[in-house]
Amino acid sequence: MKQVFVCVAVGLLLLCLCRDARAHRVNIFASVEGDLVRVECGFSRSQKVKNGRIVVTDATTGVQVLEGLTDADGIFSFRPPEDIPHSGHALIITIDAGTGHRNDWTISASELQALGAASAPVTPQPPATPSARPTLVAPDTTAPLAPAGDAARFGLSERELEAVINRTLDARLAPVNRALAQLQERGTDFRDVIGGIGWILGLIGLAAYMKYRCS
Amino acid sequence: MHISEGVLSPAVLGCGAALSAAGIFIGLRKADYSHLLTVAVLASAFFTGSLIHVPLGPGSVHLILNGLLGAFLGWGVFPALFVALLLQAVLFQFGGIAVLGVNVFCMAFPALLCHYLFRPLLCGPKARLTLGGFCCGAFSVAGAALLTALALNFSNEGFLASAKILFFAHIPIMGLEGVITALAVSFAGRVRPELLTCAKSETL
Repeated sequence: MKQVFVCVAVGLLLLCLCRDARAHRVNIFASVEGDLVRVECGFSRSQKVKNGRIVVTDATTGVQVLEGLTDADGIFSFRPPEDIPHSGHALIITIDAGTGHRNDWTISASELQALGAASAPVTPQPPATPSARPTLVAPDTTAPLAPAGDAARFGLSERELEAVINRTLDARLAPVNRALAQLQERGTDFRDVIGGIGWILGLIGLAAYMKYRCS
Repeated sequence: MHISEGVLSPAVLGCGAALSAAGIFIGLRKADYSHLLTVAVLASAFFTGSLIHVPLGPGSVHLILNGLLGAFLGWGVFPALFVALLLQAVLFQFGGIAVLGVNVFCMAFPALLCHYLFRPLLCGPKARLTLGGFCCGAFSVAGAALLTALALNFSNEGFLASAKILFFAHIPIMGLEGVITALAVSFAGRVRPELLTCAKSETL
């Protein structure tokens, strides 16, 4: 008896220490980048969902907006229809990786509104040309109270300026978004494993106690 | 093998929950309380077994170990798997709470079936015992793949397509679990034969 338990205990310990322990669930992370929504799906950090079916639905109306398949890196990017960012509706993105693996992610209406601004028609103009810079760092005192007027002085409308800022922010925040996506894929923790085994032993202990009380 | 939340229709979920509840009830009624520790150790093995991934081809599959539990526990496989799968759902987000009944049934029922099918082998001498263990481990996984595909059949995925994927992906697992179960059973048969089913068959 003792030998059996020693063997099982050693086996369990080896299992727990196995570095390749990963959750077998499908992860999804979506973020707005530029004028696109980028969806990333994976079973783990290294194993991405290839050809997983993505379905995008309107969270308010429940109407399917579009669907597609992930590429070899588990990525699917799409441009939401024009009316979505302005409707104030959130989008639910569902990944169906087959054989019963499914997960979803909600893109909030506020994120989509940013996308609406980013996708606004912008005339191709460099965001901060060297010639425009001196005026930026040394603002004159003639029109300090009109921010919209400031934008106009660079030859940009307020809307265009917003689009430019959004684009830069998206580029800057992309690594942060990736880090967040990785955090979402929280791997299986050694503590969870030990905790789970503790729960099982505790429940069995409870059952033994109940049986003892009854008999 | 763990079906996620939101894939199955309420009818399938209800059906799975009812069948599992019945199995758990019978399992608890027939439980041999002198072997509680065996149940705990095997449930823990199942709980951690799902974390061991076997990388294979495009994807990777994980150990299931339902056959191992079936060989030792008989009807007790239902409550043991219920607890282990519940903890997996809560701690690792494998499967889910709503789909727990279906997942329990998909994995426990084939194990129970194998337990009774291969009982003559499991009660025999060493060579037959090992063969019985192997069959128990391998066919329980095959049965679980088949039942999972059947459950998915009632969702949007076709039965044949999912059955094929699940079955072929799990062929190496069948072999591996067959060997694990055979080793465990033959070892137990040598050092603690009373752990095996034939010795306590009257309690089942």
